[in-house]
Amino acid sequence: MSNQLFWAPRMKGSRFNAHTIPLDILKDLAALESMVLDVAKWHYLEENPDKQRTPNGFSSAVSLQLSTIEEGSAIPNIYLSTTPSLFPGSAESYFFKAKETIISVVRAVNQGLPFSHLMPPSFLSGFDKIGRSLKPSESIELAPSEPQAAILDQQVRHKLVLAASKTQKYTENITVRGCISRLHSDENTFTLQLINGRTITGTYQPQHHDDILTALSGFKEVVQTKIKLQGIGTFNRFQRLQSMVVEHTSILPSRDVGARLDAFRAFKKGWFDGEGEPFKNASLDWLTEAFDNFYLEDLPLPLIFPLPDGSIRTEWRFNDYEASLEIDLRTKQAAWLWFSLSNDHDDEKNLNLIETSDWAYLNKKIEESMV
Amino acid sequence: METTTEVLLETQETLLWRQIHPSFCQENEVSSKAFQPLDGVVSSAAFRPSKDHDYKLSTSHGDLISAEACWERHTQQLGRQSEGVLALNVSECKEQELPVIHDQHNFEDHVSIDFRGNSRKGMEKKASKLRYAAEQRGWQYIQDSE
Repeated sequence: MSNQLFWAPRMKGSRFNAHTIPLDILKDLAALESMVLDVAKWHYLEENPDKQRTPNGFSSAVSLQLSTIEEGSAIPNIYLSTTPSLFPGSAESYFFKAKETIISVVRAVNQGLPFSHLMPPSFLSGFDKIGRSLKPSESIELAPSEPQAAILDQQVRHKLVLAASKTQKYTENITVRGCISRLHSDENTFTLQLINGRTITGTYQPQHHDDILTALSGFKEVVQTKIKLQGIGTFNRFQRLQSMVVEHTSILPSRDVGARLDAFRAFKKGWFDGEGEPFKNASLDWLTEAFDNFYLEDLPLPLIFPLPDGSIRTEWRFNDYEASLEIDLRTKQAAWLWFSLSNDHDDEKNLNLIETSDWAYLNKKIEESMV
Repeated sequence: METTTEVLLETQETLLWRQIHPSFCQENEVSSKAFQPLDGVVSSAAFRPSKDHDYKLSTSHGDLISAEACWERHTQQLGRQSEGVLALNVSECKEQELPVIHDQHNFEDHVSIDFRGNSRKGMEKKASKLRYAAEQRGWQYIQDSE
């Protein structure tokens, strides 16, 4: 058996800053291996027009293996491992050609050039699984050592998959919140009413049934039971979510921060009687994640209100104390105010919500107010 | 037509109607922000230069118009949004040292609660106490109550 370094793409984004790769990205790398194999076979048949199929041992003698992860942000070293086989000559060269073809396709999209002649259009659908786990701010540099970049991110993926797909659909890892309005337990399907009122359909596994049923039973309550679903969403070419396959479920508390903030996403300019700035999805995503990551789980969730100037206000009420935090989503700075209703005790401070120490301060003050 | 007539309202028990924008309601709880003049307070003042503000909170004179008529004018005639009407009385404003001015701005029943001269902290504290008083009194008109 022989091993040689085959590919060392660079993963860029905050999740890779510690020079590690989250396990869900490994699915993307496995999909990359599958595409390399398909494209390698295609190259072989292109160069050998007299052949109907690739020879025995073409694919089984070669495999890609993740060996080490280098720094910067994270570079998985993928080795090509070959074992002796009946295949005459070297299958390896076709694998290297396949790699170059994949890089060329992505580079062409980056440069706004035609790409459909570079590989059969049907192969492009393979990009539906490569890079699906990337977050909007993340990307994979496929040829970091070459002068011309070839960067795969969600936008490039969408373009490639839509070019391949007759049905004009692509998939993406998603997290959505809403209420279950319908359930067909015999088919494991459901209808989810999103916070913005739109509905999508989905399928789930038996282990998610209890949560989905709980959400359904709370659909007609005055305060509806909300659920968070994570999984793979299917989008149409207009980037509209159509359906999903559920991988994880969780019932949300009634004051769930993400669900409340979701309600502000549809606000258009002038939403407050002619005044009112719209909210950017990325800003609401940031605040949702910040609360998820830094606000202690056992503390009471705040009331949350949108403000016409585009900031967000959170309020907490205790027996003798009230507190509020007004968050400027552009600067991620917040004005904190805590005060007693019965005496002059108060605390006013500007918090920087990028700093974990300032979240710790907030947590401590809320915790003290509960006593 | 706008008028400049301003009279300090002294009748302690007179109710003042306050329209509550739906965005300031969550799970039937109302934000203290609904009881502060919006322009020029807190977020604007804390983070960026503010535009012109008069630091006055708009209400309507409860002796001159009913809560329901006030809501209908606000939503139907003026085309604005309102979850419903909460009320304060003049006495509750005075407890917070907030002058209540019958200024007839645009409408003869228009009354302003004057927050001028208060710091952000002062406005927040007073608005919270006003909100608490209004919540204790309960909704005076709400669309679904018909």
